[in-house]
Amino acid sequence: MRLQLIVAWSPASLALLAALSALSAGAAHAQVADQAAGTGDAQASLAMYADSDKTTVVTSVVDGHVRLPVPVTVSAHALVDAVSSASVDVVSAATPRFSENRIELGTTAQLGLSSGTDATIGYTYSGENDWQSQALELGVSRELAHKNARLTVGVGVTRNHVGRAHDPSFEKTLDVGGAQLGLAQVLGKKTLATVAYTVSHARGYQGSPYRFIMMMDRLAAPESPPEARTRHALTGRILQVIGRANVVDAQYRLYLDDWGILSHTAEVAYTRELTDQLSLRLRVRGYRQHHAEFYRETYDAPMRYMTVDRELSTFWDATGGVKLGWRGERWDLEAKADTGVYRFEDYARLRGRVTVVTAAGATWRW
Amino acid sequence: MVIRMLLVVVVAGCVTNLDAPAPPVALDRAYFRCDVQPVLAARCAFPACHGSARRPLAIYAPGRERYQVGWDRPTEGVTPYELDANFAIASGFATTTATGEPWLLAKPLATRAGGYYHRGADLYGGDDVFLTKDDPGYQLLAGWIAGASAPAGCTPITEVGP
Repeated sequence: MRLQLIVAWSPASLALLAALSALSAGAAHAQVADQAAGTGDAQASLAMYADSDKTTVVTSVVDGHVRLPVPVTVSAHALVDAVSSASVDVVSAATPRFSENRIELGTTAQLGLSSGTDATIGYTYSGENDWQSQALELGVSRELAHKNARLTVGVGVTRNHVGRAHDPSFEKTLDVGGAQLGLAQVLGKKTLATVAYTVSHARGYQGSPYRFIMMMDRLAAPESPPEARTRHALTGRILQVIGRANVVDAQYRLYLDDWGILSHTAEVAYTRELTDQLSLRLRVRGYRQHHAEFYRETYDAPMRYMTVDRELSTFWDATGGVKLGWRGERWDLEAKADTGVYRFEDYARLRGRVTVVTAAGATWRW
Repeated sequence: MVIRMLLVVVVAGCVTNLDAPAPPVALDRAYFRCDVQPVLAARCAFPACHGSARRPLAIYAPGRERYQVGWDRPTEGVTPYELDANFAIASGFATTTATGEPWLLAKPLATRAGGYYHRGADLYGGDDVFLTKDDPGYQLLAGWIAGASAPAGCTPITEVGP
Protein backbone atom coordinates (compact mmCIF):
# COMPACT_ATOMS: atom_id res chain seq x y z
CA MET A 1 0.00 0.00 0.00
CA ARG A 2 1.34 3.38 -0.96
CA LEU A 3 1.20 6.52 1.04
CA GLN A 4 -2.24 7.99 1.12
CA LEU A 5 -1.03 11.01 -0.79
CA ILE A 6 0.36 8.89 -3.59
CA VAL A 7 -2.71 6.70 -3.82
CA ALA A 8 -4.77 9.81 -4.11
CA TRP A 9 -2.62 11.40 -6.77
CA SER A 10 -4.81 10.98 -9.83
CA PRO A 11 -6.86 14.06 -10.67
CA ALA A 12 -9.99 12.02 -10.07
CA SER A 13 -9.02 11.81 -6.44
CA LEU A 14 -7.99 15.39 -6.06
CA ALA A 15 -10.60 15.75 -3.36
CA LEU A 16 -8.49 13.70 -1.00
CA LEU A 17 -5.51 15.87 -1.66
CA ALA A 18 -7.56 18.93 -1.11
CA ALA A 19 -8.81 17.49 2.13
CA LEU A 20 -5.21 16.98 3.14
CA SER A 21 -4.56 20.62 2.56
CA ALA A 22 -7.27 21.43 5.08
CA LEU A 23 -8.49 24.38 3.15
CA SER A 24 -12.07 23.92 4.12
CA ALA A 25 -13.02 24.30 7.73
CA GLY A 26 -15.45 21.43 7.68
CA ALA A 27 -14.07 19.31 4.89
CA ALA A 28 -11.95 16.79 6.69
CA HIS A 29 -12.87 14.03 4.27
CA ALA A 30 -13.13 13.48 0.53
CA GLN A 31 -15.94 14.74 -1.62
CA VAL A 32 -19.21 13.03 -0.77
CA ALA A 33 -19.47 11.61 -4.28
CA ASP A 34 -16.19 9.76 -3.81
CA GLN A 35 -17.41 7.89 -0.73
CA ALA A 36 -19.57 4.78 -0.77
CA ALA A 37 -22.75 4.75 1.26
CA GLY A 38 -22.27 3.15 4.64
CA THR A 39 -18.54 3.73 4.79
CA GLY A 40 -17.00 5.68 7.59
CA ASP A 41 -14.43 5.73 10.32
CA ALA A 42 -14.01 6.26 14.02
CA GLN A 43 -10.96 7.73 15.68
CA ALA A 44 -9.72 8.07 19.20
CA SER A 45 -6.62 9.86 20.38
CA LEU A 46 -4.91 10.95 23.55
CA ALA A 47 -2.39 13.77 23.71
CA MET A 48 -0.34 15.09 26.59
CA TYR A 49 1.17 18.58 26.72
CA ALA A 50 3.63 19.77 29.33
CA ASP A 51 5.80 22.85 29.51
CA SER A 52 8.43 24.39 31.71
CA ASP A 53 5.91 27.02 32.84
CA LYS A 54 4.20 24.43 35.04
CA THR A 55 1.27 23.75 32.75
CA THR A 56 -0.02 20.35 31.69
CA VAL A 57 -2.90 19.54 29.37
CA VAL A 58 -4.29 16.10 28.64
CA THR A 59 -6.50 16.04 25.57
CA SER A 60 -8.82 13.15 24.76
CA VAL A 61 -10.67 13.10 21.44
CA VAL A 62 -13.14 10.73 19.83
CA ASP A 63 -14.24 11.45 16.30
CA GLY A 64 -16.31 9.61 13.76
CA HIS A 65 -17.88 10.04 10.36
CA VAL A 66 -20.21 8.03 8.21
CA ARG A 67 -21.54 8.32 4.66
CA LEU A 68 -25.32 8.05 4.64
CA PRO A 69 -27.36 6.35 1.90
CA VAL A 70 -28.24 9.82 0.67
CA PRO A 71 -25.33 11.97 -0.54
CA VAL A 72 -24.48 13.24 2.91
CA THR A 73 -21.69 12.44 5.30
CA VAL A 74 -22.13 13.20 8.95
CA SER A 75 -19.31 13.56 11.42
CA ALA A 76 -19.19 14.25 15.12
CA HIS A 77 -16.50 14.66 17.70
CA ALA A 78 -16.08 15.05 21.42
CA LEU A 79 -13.00 16.47 23.09
CA VAL A 80 -11.97 16.91 26.69
CA ASP A 81 -9.03 19.05 27.77
CA ALA A 82 -7.88 18.53 31.34
CA VAL A 83 -5.77 21.55 32.24
CA SER A 84 -3.62 22.08 35.29
CA SER A 85 -1.49 25.19 35.55
CA ALA A 86 0.64 27.19 37.91
CA SER A 87 2.11 29.37 35.17
CA VAL A 88 3.37 32.89 35.78
CA ASP A 89 0.02 34.20 34.57
CA VAL A 90 -1.65 32.30 37.36
CA VAL A 91 0.73 32.88 40.23
CA SER A 92 1.11 36.59 39.42
CA ALA A 93 -2.63 36.89 40.10
CA ALA A 94 -1.99 35.44 43.58
CA THR A 95 -3.51 32.05 42.69
CA PRO A 96 -1.28 29.06 43.47
CA ARG A 97 -2.63 26.65 40.81
CA PHE A 98 -5.84 25.90 38.99
CA SER A 99 -7.23 22.77 37.38
CA GLU A 100 -10.18 22.65 35.04
CA ASN A 101 -11.74 20.71 32.20
CA ARG A 102 -12.85 21.97 28.83
CA ILE A 103 -15.39 19.98 26.87
CA GLU A 104 -15.97 20.44 23.16
CA LEU A 105 -18.72 18.79 21.13
CA GLY A 106 -19.11 19.26 17.41
CA THR A 107 -20.91 17.91 14.40
CA THR A 108 -20.61 18.52 10.69
CA ALA A 109 -22.75 17.52 7.75
CA GLN A 110 -21.22 17.44 4.31
CA LEU A 111 -23.78 17.50 1.52
CA GLY A 112 -23.02 16.39 -2.00
CA LEU A 113 -24.86 18.94 -4.12
CA SER A 114 -23.49 17.50 -7.37
CA SER A 115 -20.63 15.29 -8.47
CA GLY A 116 -18.12 18.09 -7.98
CA THR A 117 -19.79 20.36 -5.48
CA ASP A 118 -20.16 19.88 -1.74
CA ALA A 119 -21.59 22.03 0.98
CA THR A 120 -20.76 21.75 4.65
CA ILE A 121 -22.51 22.94 7.75
CA GLY A 122 -20.95 22.53 11.15
CA TYR A 123 -21.74 23.37 14.74
CA THR A 124 -19.34 23.30 17.68
CA TYR A 125 -19.96 23.87 21.35
CA SER A 126 -17.15 24.41 23.81
CA GLY A 127 -17.51 24.91 27.52
CA GLU A 128 -15.36 25.35 30.61
CA ASN A 129 -15.99 26.95 33.95
CA ASP A 130 -15.42 30.51 32.74
CA TRP A 131 -15.93 30.31 28.98
CA GLN A 132 -18.79 29.08 26.79
CA SER A 133 -18.58 29.13 23.02
CA GLN A 134 -20.89 28.22 20.15
CA ALA A 135 -19.72 28.26 16.55
CA LEU A 136 -21.58 27.78 13.28
CA GLU A 137 -19.69 27.24 10.02
CA LEU A 138 -20.95 27.03 6.45
CA GLY A 139 -18.87 26.16 3.43
CA VAL A 140 -19.05 25.28 -0.23
CA SER A 141 -16.36 23.58 -2.29
CA ARG A 142 -16.35 22.95 -6.01
CA GLU A 143 -13.99 21.04 -8.21
CA LEU A 144 -12.80 22.87 -11.28
CA ALA A 145 -10.64 22.29 -14.35
CA HIS A 146 -11.50 18.60 -14.73
CA LYS A 147 -10.87 18.02 -11.05
CA ASN A 148 -7.43 19.55 -11.18
CA ALA A 149 -8.48 22.33 -8.86
CA ARG A 150 -10.82 22.90 -6.00
CA LEU A 151 -12.26 26.20 -4.86
CA THR A 152 -13.51 26.49 -1.30
CA VAL A 153 -15.52 29.27 0.30
CA GLY A 154 -16.50 29.29 3.94
CA VAL A 155 -18.06 31.58 6.51
CA GLY A 156 -18.48 31.21 10.23
CA VAL A 157 -19.79 32.96 13.30
CA THR A 158 -18.92 32.33 16.92
CA ARG A 159 -20.52 33.67 20.08
CA ASN A 160 -18.47 33.44 23.25
CA HIS A 161 -19.64 34.06 26.77
CA VAL A 162 -16.67 35.07 28.89
CA GLY A 163 -17.03 34.57 32.61
CA ARG A 164 -14.90 34.55 35.70
CA ALA A 165 -14.44 31.61 38.02
CA HIS A 166 -16.94 31.53 40.90
CA ASP A 167 -18.47 34.76 39.63
CA PRO A 168 -22.08 34.68 38.43
CA SER A 169 -22.07 38.45 38.09
CA PHE A 170 -19.27 38.64 35.56
CA GLU A 171 -20.40 37.86 32.03
CA LYS A 172 -19.09 39.44 28.85
CA THR A 173 -19.63 38.48 25.26
CA LEU A 174 -17.25 38.14 22.36
CA ASP A 175 -18.65 37.73 18.85
CA VAL A 176 -16.49 36.63 15.96
CA GLY A 177 -17.40 36.48 12.28
CA GLY A 178 -15.10 35.22 9.59
CA ALA A 179 -14.73 34.08 6.02
CA GLN A 180 -12.25 31.96 4.12
CA LEU A 181 -11.42 31.55 0.46
CA GLY A 182 -9.20 28.70 -0.64
CA LEU A 183 -7.91 27.24 -3.86
CA ALA A 184 -6.12 23.94 -4.37
CA GLN A 185 -4.45 23.41 -7.73
CA VAL A 186 -2.62 20.44 -9.20
CA LEU A 187 0.57 21.80 -10.73
CA GLY A 188 1.90 18.55 -12.08
CA LYS A 189 1.84 14.82 -11.59
CA LYS A 190 3.53 15.14 -8.24
CA THR A 191 2.80 18.64 -7.11
CA LEU A 192 -0.17 20.20 -5.41
CA ALA A 193 -0.35 23.86 -4.39
CA THR A 194 -2.90 25.49 -2.17
CA VAL A 195 -3.52 29.05 -1.16
CA ALA A 196 -6.03 30.30 1.37
CA TYR A 197 -7.06 33.69 2.67
CA THR A 198 -8.89 34.11 5.95
CA VAL A 199 -10.42 37.22 7.46
CA SER A 200 -12.22 37.55 10.76
CA HIS A 201 -13.57 40.31 12.92
CA ALA A 202 -14.04 40.03 16.66
CA ARG A 203 -16.03 42.41 18.82
CA GLY A 204 -16.49 42.25 22.54
CA TYR A 205 -14.42 41.50 25.62
CA GLN A 206 -11.01 40.24 24.51
CA GLY A 207 -9.05 40.49 27.72
CA SER A 208 -8.74 38.27 30.75
CA PRO A 209 -10.43 39.11 34.05
CA TYR A 210 -7.51 37.38 35.78
CA ARG A 211 -4.72 39.56 34.43
CA PHE A 212 -3.65 42.85 35.94
CA ILE A 213 -1.31 45.52 34.71
CA MET A 214 1.39 46.22 37.28
CA MET A 215 2.91 49.56 36.37
CA MET A 216 5.81 51.49 37.72
CA ASP A 217 5.22 53.68 40.78
CA ARG A 218 2.56 51.35 42.17
CA LEU A 219 0.05 51.97 39.43
CA ALA A 220 -2.15 48.98 38.72
CA ALA A 221 -5.28 48.28 36.72
CA PRO A 222 -7.25 45.45 35.18
CA GLU A 223 -6.21 44.52 31.66
CA SER A 224 -7.99 46.63 29.03
CA PRO A 225 -7.49 45.63 25.38
CA PRO A 226 -9.59 47.15 22.56
CA GLU A 227 -13.02 45.66 21.95
CA ALA A 228 -12.66 45.21 18.18
CA ARG A 229 -10.08 43.27 16.23
CA THR A 230 -9.82 42.42 12.55
CA ARG A 231 -7.45 39.67 11.47
CA HIS A 232 -6.10 38.59 8.12
CA ALA A 233 -4.13 35.49 7.22
CA LEU A 234 -2.72 34.30 3.92
CA THR A 235 -1.42 30.76 3.66
CA GLY A 236 0.47 29.12 0.82
CA ARG A 237 1.31 25.44 0.74
CA ILE A 238 3.10 23.05 -1.57
CA LEU A 239 2.94 19.26 -1.40
CA GLN A 240 5.56 17.53 -3.51
CA VAL A 241 5.98 13.83 -4.03
CA ILE A 242 9.62 12.80 -4.47
CA GLY A 243 10.17 9.37 -5.93
CA ARG A 244 7.57 6.85 -4.84
CA ALA A 245 7.90 6.96 -1.10
CA ASN A 246 8.61 10.54 -0.06
CA VAL A 247 6.40 13.58 0.38
CA VAL A 248 7.53 17.06 1.28
CA ASP A 249 4.89 19.42 2.63
CA ALA A 250 5.98 23.05 2.93
CA GLN A 251 3.81 25.95 3.97
CA TYR A 252 4.05 29.57 4.91
CA ARG A 253 1.51 31.76 6.65
CA LEU A 254 1.45 35.53 6.86
CA TYR A 255 -0.78 36.98 9.54
CA LEU A 256 -1.56 40.53 10.51
CA ASP A 257 -4.27 42.39 12.36
CA ASP A 258 -5.34 45.89 13.24
CA TRP A 259 -3.83 45.55 16.71
CA GLY A 260 -0.48 45.76 14.98
CA ILE A 261 0.57 42.13 15.18
CA LEU A 262 2.45 40.80 12.18
CA SER A 263 3.55 37.19 12.22
CA HIS A 264 5.26 34.67 9.99
CA THR A 265 4.88 30.93 10.23
CA ALA A 266 6.92 28.48 8.20
CA GLU A 267 6.61 24.73 8.38
CA VAL A 268 8.19 21.86 6.53
CA ALA A 269 7.22 18.23 6.94
CA TYR A 270 8.86 15.26 5.33
CA THR A 271 7.04 11.94 5.19
CA ARG A 272 8.69 8.72 4.14
CA GLU A 273 7.06 5.39 3.62
CA LEU A 274 9.27 2.93 5.44
CA THR A 275 7.29 -0.17 4.43
CA ASP A 276 3.96 -0.80 2.78
CA GLN A 277 2.27 -0.10 6.08
CA LEU A 278 4.67 2.01 8.07
CA SER A 279 5.40 5.71 7.51
CA LEU A 280 7.58 8.22 9.30
CA ARG A 281 7.06 11.97 9.35
CA LEU A 282 9.57 14.57 10.47
CA ARG A 283 8.36 18.11 10.97
CA VAL A 284 9.85 21.47 11.85
CA ARG A 285 7.97 24.69 12.38
CA GLY A 286 9.06 28.24 13.11
CA TYR A 287 6.97 31.20 14.23
CA ARG A 288 7.80 34.82 14.79
CA GLN A 289 5.56 37.73 15.73
CA HIS A 290 5.89 41.40 16.57
CA HIS A 291 3.94 42.69 19.53
CA ALA A 292 0.61 44.53 19.44
CA GLU A 293 0.87 48.29 19.22
CA PHE A 294 -0.45 48.82 22.74
CA TYR A 295 1.52 46.00 24.36
CA ARG A 296 4.42 47.03 26.59
CA GLU A 297 6.67 45.03 28.83
CA THR A 298 6.05 47.63 31.51
CA TYR A 299 3.77 50.64 31.57
CA ASP A 300 5.05 53.76 33.28
CA ALA A 301 1.75 55.63 32.90
CA PRO A 302 -1.88 54.65 32.38
CA MET A 303 -2.68 54.06 28.73
CA ARG A 304 -6.02 53.81 26.99
CA TYR A 305 -5.37 50.16 26.15
CA MET A 306 -3.13 47.95 28.23
CA THR A 307 -2.35 44.26 28.29
CA VAL A 308 0.09 41.82 29.83
CA ASP A 309 -0.98 38.98 27.58
CA ARG A 310 2.23 37.31 26.48
CA GLU A 311 0.47 36.12 23.32
CA LEU A 312 0.47 39.79 22.29
CA SER A 313 4.17 40.26 23.01
CA THR A 314 7.12 39.89 20.65
CA PHE A 315 8.16 36.27 20.60
CA TRP A 316 9.31 33.40 18.48
CA ASP A 317 9.05 29.69 18.76
CA ALA A 318 10.57 26.70 17.06
CA THR A 319 8.98 23.28 17.10
CA GLY A 320 10.09 19.94 15.79
CA GLY A 321 8.76 16.45 15.99
CA VAL A 322 8.39 12.99 14.68
CA LYS A 323 5.31 10.90 13.88
CA LEU A 324 5.13 7.20 13.20
CA GLY A 325 2.09 5.85 11.39
CA TRP A 326 0.88 2.35 10.69
CA ARG A 327 -1.87 1.77 8.14
CA GLY A 328 -3.71 -1.54 8.02
CA GLU A 329 -6.71 -2.79 6.12
CA ARG A 330 -9.18 -1.47 8.64
CA TRP A 331 -7.04 0.00 11.38
CA ASP A 332 -4.60 2.88 11.43
CA LEU A 333 -2.35 3.64 14.36
CA GLU A 334 -0.12 6.62 14.95
CA ALA A 335 2.14 8.01 17.63
CA LYS A 336 3.95 11.31 17.67
CA ALA A 337 6.16 13.48 19.80
CA ASP A 338 6.91 17.17 19.39
CA THR A 339 9.07 19.54 21.35
CA GLY A 340 9.20 23.30 21.12
CA VAL A 341 11.16 26.25 22.41
CA TYR A 342 9.53 29.65 22.99
CA ARG A 343 11.37 32.88 23.53
CA PHE A 344 9.50 35.96 24.77
CA GLU A 345 11.54 39.04 23.97
CA ASP A 346 9.57 41.65 25.89
CA TYR A 347 7.65 39.72 28.52
CA ALA A 348 9.30 40.30 31.86
CA ARG A 349 7.47 37.59 33.80
CA LEU A 350 8.67 34.78 31.56
CA ARG A 351 11.56 34.82 29.13
CA GLY A 352 10.94 31.45 27.58
CA ARG A 353 9.54 28.00 27.93
CA VAL A 354 10.06 24.52 26.60
CA THR A 355 7.11 22.39 25.54
CA VAL A 356 6.68 18.69 24.96
CA VAL A 357 3.66 17.11 23.27
CA THR A 358 3.15 13.39 22.92
CA ALA A 359 0.12 11.79 21.33
CA ALA A 360 -1.21 8.45 20.20
CA GLY A 361 -4.29 7.62 18.20
CA ALA A 362 -6.16 4.88 16.42
CA THR A 363 -8.62 4.91 13.52
CA TRP A 364 -11.02 2.17 12.56
CA ARG A 365 -12.50 2.23 9.07
CA TRP A 366 -15.43 0.33 7.68
CA MET B 1 9.82 48.24 10.67
CA VAL B 2 8.63 50.37 7.74
CA ILE B 3 7.54 47.32 5.78
CA ARG B 4 5.73 45.98 8.80
CA MET B 5 3.83 49.18 9.38
CA LEU B 6 3.02 49.48 5.69
CA LEU B 7 1.62 45.96 5.61
CA VAL B 8 -0.41 46.52 8.72
CA VAL B 9 -1.87 49.80 7.49
CA VAL B 10 -2.61 48.59 3.96
CA VAL B 11 -4.04 45.19 4.77
CA ALA B 12 -5.39 45.45 8.28
CA GLY B 13 -6.44 49.06 8.32
CA CYS B 14 -5.34 51.93 10.50
CA VAL B 15 -3.59 51.00 13.73
CA THR B 16 -3.42 54.47 15.15
CA ASN B 17 -4.67 55.48 18.59
CA LEU B 18 -4.09 52.07 20.13
CA ASP B 19 -1.02 53.29 21.98
CA ALA B 20 -2.49 56.56 23.26
CA PRO B 21 -2.39 57.69 26.89
CA ALA B 22 -5.48 57.15 28.99
CA PRO B 23 -7.79 60.13 29.35
CA PRO B 24 -6.77 62.36 32.27
CA VAL B 25 -8.10 61.14 35.59
CA ALA B 26 -10.73 63.46 37.04
CA LEU B 27 -10.72 61.84 40.45
CA ASP B 28 -10.41 64.26 43.34
CA ARG B 29 -7.32 63.87 45.55
CA ALA B 30 -8.73 65.67 48.58
CA TYR B 31 -11.87 63.56 48.57
CA PHE B 32 -9.68 60.49 48.31
CA ARG B 33 -7.57 61.52 51.30
CA CYS B 34 -10.54 62.39 53.50
CA ASP B 35 -13.29 59.97 52.38
CA VAL B 36 -11.75 57.07 50.47
CA GLN B 37 -8.41 56.36 52.14
CA PRO B 38 -10.07 55.78 55.55
CA VAL B 39 -12.42 53.22 53.99
CA LEU B 40 -9.61 51.40 52.20
CA ALA B 41 -7.46 51.44 55.33
CA ALA B 42 -10.20 50.11 57.61
CA ARG B 43 -11.85 47.57 55.35
CA CYS B 44 -9.36 46.46 52.68
CA ALA B 45 -5.79 46.86 53.92
CA PHE B 46 -5.45 43.87 56.25
CA PRO B 47 -2.06 42.22 55.81
CA ALA B 48 -3.64 39.02 54.46
CA CYS B 49 -5.76 41.02 52.02
CA HIS B 50 -4.72 44.17 50.20
CA GLY B 51 -2.15 45.30 52.76
CA SER B 52 0.40 43.36 50.80
CA ALA B 53 2.60 44.23 47.83
CA ARG B 54 1.66 40.86 46.31
CA ARG B 55 -1.79 42.15 45.47
CA PRO B 56 -2.40 44.20 42.34
CA LEU B 57 -4.49 46.52 44.53
CA ALA B 58 -1.94 47.03 47.32
CA ILE B 59 -2.87 49.55 50.00
CA TYR B 60 -0.65 51.35 52.51
CA ALA B 61 -2.26 52.13 55.85
CA PRO B 62 -1.25 52.90 59.44
CA GLY B 63 -0.67 49.76 61.42
CA ARG B 64 -0.47 47.72 58.24
CA GLU B 65 1.67 47.75 55.12
CA ARG B 66 3.99 50.79 55.25
CA TYR B 67 6.52 52.39 52.97
CA GLN B 68 9.73 53.56 54.64
CA VAL B 69 8.06 54.14 57.99
CA GLY B 70 10.11 52.91 60.91
CA TRP B 71 9.08 49.71 62.65
CA ASP B 72 8.78 51.65 65.90
CA ARG B 73 6.17 54.03 64.39
CA PRO B 74 3.67 51.66 62.75
CA THR B 75 0.60 53.69 63.61
CA GLU B 76 1.97 56.99 62.36
CA GLY B 77 -0.36 58.72 59.91
CA VAL B 78 -0.21 57.84 56.25
CA THR B 79 2.65 59.68 54.52
CA PRO B 80 2.28 61.82 51.40
CA TYR B 81 4.12 59.15 49.39
CA GLU B 82 1.82 56.42 50.65
CA LEU B 83 -1.23 58.54 49.96
CA ASP B 84 -0.07 59.27 46.41
CA ALA B 85 0.60 55.59 45.85
CA ASN B 86 -2.80 54.58 47.17
CA PHE B 87 -4.48 57.25 45.05
CA ALA B 88 -2.72 56.04 41.91
CA ILE B 89 -3.43 52.38 42.47
CA ALA B 90 -7.07 52.96 43.42
CA SER B 91 -7.50 55.17 40.36
CA GLY B 92 -6.42 52.29 38.14
CA PHE B 93 -9.24 50.18 39.55
CA ALA B 94 -11.75 53.01 39.25
CA THR B 95 -11.81 52.99 35.45
CA THR B 96 -14.54 51.37 33.41
CA THR B 97 -12.31 50.60 30.42
CA ALA B 98 -11.75 46.93 31.10
CA THR B 99 -15.12 45.42 31.83
CA GLY B 100 -17.62 48.22 32.06
CA GLU B 101 -17.73 48.33 35.86
CA PRO B 102 -15.13 49.89 38.17
CA TRP B 103 -13.44 46.97 39.91
CA LEU B 104 -12.97 49.10 43.02
CA LEU B 105 -16.75 48.87 43.46
CA ALA B 106 -17.59 45.53 41.84
CA LYS B 107 -15.05 43.34 43.65
CA PRO B 108 -15.84 44.22 47.29
CA LEU B 109 -19.61 44.17 46.69
CA ALA B 110 -21.40 40.90 47.51
CA THR B 111 -22.32 38.92 44.40
CA ARG B 112 -25.96 38.76 45.49
CA ALA B 113 -25.95 42.55 45.38
CA GLY B 114 -24.48 42.54 41.86
CA GLY B 115 -20.77 42.49 42.68
CA TYR B 116 -18.00 40.34 41.22
CA TYR B 117 -16.59 37.28 42.92
CA HIS B 118 -14.05 38.29 45.58
CA ARG B 119 -11.82 35.63 47.04
CA GLY B 120 -11.62 37.58 50.26
CA ALA B 121 -15.27 36.74 50.87
CA ASP B 122 -14.46 33.03 50.73
CA LEU B 123 -11.41 33.35 52.95
CA TYR B 124 -13.05 35.36 55.68
CA GLY B 125 -16.44 33.97 56.51
CA GLY B 126 -18.47 34.20 53.35
CA ASP B 127 -19.52 37.82 53.57
CA ASP B 128 -17.98 40.37 51.29
CA VAL B 129 -16.76 43.82 52.27
CA PHE B 130 -19.96 45.54 51.21
CA LEU B 131 -23.13 43.49 51.56
CA THR B 132 -25.21 46.09 49.78
CA LYS B 133 -24.73 49.29 47.86
CA ASP B 134 -26.16 51.12 50.86
CA ASP B 135 -23.03 50.47 52.90
CA PRO B 136 -21.51 53.86 53.85
CA GLY B 137 -18.09 52.73 52.66
CA TYR B 138 -19.45 51.70 49.28
CA GLN B 139 -21.26 55.01 49.00
CA LEU B 140 -18.03 56.92 49.63
CA LEU B 141 -16.09 54.95 47.00
CA ALA B 142 -18.93 55.32 44.52
CA GLY B 143 -19.10 59.04 45.19
CA TRP B 144 -15.40 59.44 44.53
CA ILE B 145 -15.60 57.57 41.23
CA ALA B 146 -18.69 59.58 40.26
CA GLY B 147 -16.70 62.80 40.64
CA ALA B 148 -17.33 63.98 44.19
CA SER B 149 -14.82 66.49 45.53
CA ALA B 150 -13.77 67.89 48.88
CA PRO B 151 -11.96 71.06 49.96
CA ALA B 152 -8.19 70.78 50.14
CA GLY B 153 -8.20 71.26 53.91
CA CYS B 154 -10.81 68.60 54.66
CA THR B 155 -10.55 66.33 57.69
CA PRO B 156 -10.46 62.54 57.16
CA ILE B 157 -13.63 60.79 58.24
CA THR B 158 -13.78 58.18 60.93
CA GLU B 159 -17.14 56.59 60.04
CA VAL B 160 -16.28 53.99 57.44
CA GLY B 161 -19.07 51.50 57.93
CA PRO B 162 -19.28 48.30 59.99
